[in-house]
Amino acid sequence: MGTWDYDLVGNVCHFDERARKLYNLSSGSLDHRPEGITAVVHPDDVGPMFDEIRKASDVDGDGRYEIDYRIAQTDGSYRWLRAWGKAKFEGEGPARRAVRIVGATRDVTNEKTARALRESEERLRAFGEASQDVLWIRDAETLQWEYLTPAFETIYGVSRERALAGDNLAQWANLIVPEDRAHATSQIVRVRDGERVSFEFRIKRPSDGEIRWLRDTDFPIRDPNGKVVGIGGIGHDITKDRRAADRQEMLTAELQHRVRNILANIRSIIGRTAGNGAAISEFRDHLEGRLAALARTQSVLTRSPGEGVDLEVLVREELLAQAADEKQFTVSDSRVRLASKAAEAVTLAIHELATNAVKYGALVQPSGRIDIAWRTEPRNGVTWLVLDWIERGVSIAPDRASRQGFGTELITRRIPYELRGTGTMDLRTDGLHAEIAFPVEGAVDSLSARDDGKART
Amino acid sequence: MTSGGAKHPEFEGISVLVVDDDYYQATDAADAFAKVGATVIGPCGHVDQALASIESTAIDCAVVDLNLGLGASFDVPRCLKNRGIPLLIVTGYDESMLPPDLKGTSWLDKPVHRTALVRTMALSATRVRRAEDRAPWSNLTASFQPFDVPPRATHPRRPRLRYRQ
Repeated sequence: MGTWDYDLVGNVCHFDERARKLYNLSSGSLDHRPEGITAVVHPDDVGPMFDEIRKASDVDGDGRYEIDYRIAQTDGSYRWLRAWGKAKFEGEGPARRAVRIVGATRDVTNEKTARALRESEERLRAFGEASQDVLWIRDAETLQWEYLTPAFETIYGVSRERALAGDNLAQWANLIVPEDRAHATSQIVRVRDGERVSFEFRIKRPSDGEIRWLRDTDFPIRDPNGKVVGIGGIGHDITKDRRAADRQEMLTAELQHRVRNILANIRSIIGRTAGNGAAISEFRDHLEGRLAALARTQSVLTRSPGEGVDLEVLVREELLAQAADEKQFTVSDSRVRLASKAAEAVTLAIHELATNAVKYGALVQPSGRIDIAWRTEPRNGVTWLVLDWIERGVSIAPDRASRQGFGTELITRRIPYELRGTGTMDLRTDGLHAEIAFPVEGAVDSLSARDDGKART
Repeated sequence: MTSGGAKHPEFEGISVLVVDDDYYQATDAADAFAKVGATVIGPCGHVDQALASIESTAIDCAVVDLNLGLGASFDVPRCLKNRGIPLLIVTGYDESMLPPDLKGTSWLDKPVHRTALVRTMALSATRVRRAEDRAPWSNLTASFQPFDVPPRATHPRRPRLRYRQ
């Protein structure tokens, strides 16, 4: 600490030797004019210094003088000084004025930087506490945690007290699944040797046994000489991203499977449509109709994925696609949703029956009627869906009984094969009677014959 | 269809299990093998049926789809592999779907032509059979005449066959 005495009348400041050194003023004289002082004060602090002098000199004030400012050192750096003092006044009434300020100065640089450090540490700690990532620091020597943020508890499902107890590197390693453990611990060693690393690993949470994916980004913390003294780490929970990626992969695989299967299906349908040696125009009509039915099923299935297809909607859409007159058919209104596999087969079956009816059956003859009805019933302890397609008022063409086409194979062979059900085509005297039946397990997503309008139970 | 429908003595007395949940593809495959003289077991559209057939019937080789209605399932290929029965996977999935224990299994992408199907089956079945030195497949490659397919048997894992439509 040094002292000084500022003569306001002579406008010169007298320093003692220690104060002169603090202000880094040239030796030789202990008296300095303000210009000499402003030369060493940080430019930003010159204005405040004169303000403070004016304030202390104010005859109406209390005469106190106090200021922190930076003083240039010979090496170009600045040190913080704190000066404080009191003005002395002389004269009475209007003649009263300040004549000197007497005070002392000390170096507060260390206090200032310690405080700045504390504040910056506080800020960083606040970030750490608020972060959803787990932030941590390990000692490079012992590899033990010195700092660990609360997100650790959320992600790892272990309290910080428990995690920090004992050999906490080993404790942490034990939370990692065995397959990933050696790799994860080897990464910590690499950081200690000066590398930055980023790696992914799985932990098993002791609290609920859940597997979680983490991505750690770890880096060396060095002292001013470049020696690694700490290991800093940021652990980010990537479980959600991983699951989303897995799901994406699964969906892509299923989509690819579906596309290839549909192509294979179209190939089979083409082969079977061409098989009966019909004329090219008839072949084209049949093929177009079947592909359109296939497309309708796909669009209904993708409209509400996983929801299945409403049987009534499916049947009505097929009949309307054939421009069937609504006065000529009735459709059951009990609510049933078919899973995709059953929906594909049943759509095509209804398409074939409707095409057939438009060409030869109930829908081409004014007296013709079709009742399409379904119900569920137990068969051998399992619930079956039984769908009846009953045509009435049809006069049967003599050659019709012998037709063994695509539709017949579909109903009497494909349905039993794919849905483990039964399918019959019975040409009676007044029209066709087809029955499709299959167990609902897996083939029907959910089923309700109640009239509450809700299909899902 | 193509000359893949011609009879081939190599398949005489050989039983082929066909597993596919799609009726058309299953019956097309069954038809292809029947036409070249094999005895077709199945076709089976469901896992339990396929496993029951493997249990109850002498099977020389099998062609298997991975998706039998409920997503990819590896029960049938595993069962066949454990019994040393040569198998050919025909599926719409990508080959990367295969779990490690089934890697290297013969594989064809859907949609598959019947000629490629029969030809690849002959090759993959022969390879396994010959390794075990089991008759009657031991001489099959020597006498086997490819249908209308240029032989490229050097690709052991996934023969890329060219065929005329």
